[in-house]
Amino acid sequence: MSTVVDDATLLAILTKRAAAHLLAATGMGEILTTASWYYRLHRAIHDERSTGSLSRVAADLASAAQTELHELLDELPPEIVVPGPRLLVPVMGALRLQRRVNYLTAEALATAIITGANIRASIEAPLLSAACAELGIGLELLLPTE
Amino acid sequence: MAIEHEAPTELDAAVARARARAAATGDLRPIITGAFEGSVSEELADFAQRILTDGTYAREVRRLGQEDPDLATI
Repeated sequence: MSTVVDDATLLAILTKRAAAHLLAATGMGEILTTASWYYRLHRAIHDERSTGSLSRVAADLASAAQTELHELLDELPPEIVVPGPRLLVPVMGALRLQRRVNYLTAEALATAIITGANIRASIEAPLLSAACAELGIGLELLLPTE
Repeated sequence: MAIEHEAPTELDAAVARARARAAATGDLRPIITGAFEGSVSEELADFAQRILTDGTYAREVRRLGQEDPDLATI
């Protein structure tokens, strides 16, 4: 079964710190992510305005490692599927949930519904959990490196 | 005995159209499959491991979500 992974899990996969079964699933083309999660990861790493601890830690990387990180984020491996809005938006627009969700969550739900995939997230999200239960989507809440 | 069928919802119809479209265009197929290879430097792998497990990345996600609600984990 395919899995839609969040941004933290995506980073673990890209840096080969994810669990072996996730890396194997990536090779088999069974890992998807969303444009929102991909963008959030990219922005978290690249955001020059960030005054948070992430930018400080990233700035401490050697120049070669910073370049490597930016290249990883700029060119997702071709094994990972990122569905586009032409496919997803009509399904996102047809979601009739008890509680309204934001774009990021609607995109993840639509991706999972269309592909019959589970969603794997690393941060607890009550509305995502409720929507998955309502729609019959499997949701795994695990650390990205588990 | 009469069998009751639930009418397809708007969502059912949208999903059916999306699946048909994806089957025709290949939009949901990975560009390639095979062994997921390629190496990552130990420094970068350690960096990722650290920020993903010590709460640094989760804090950054919360900050981004406050700045841009469409990116918030809710």
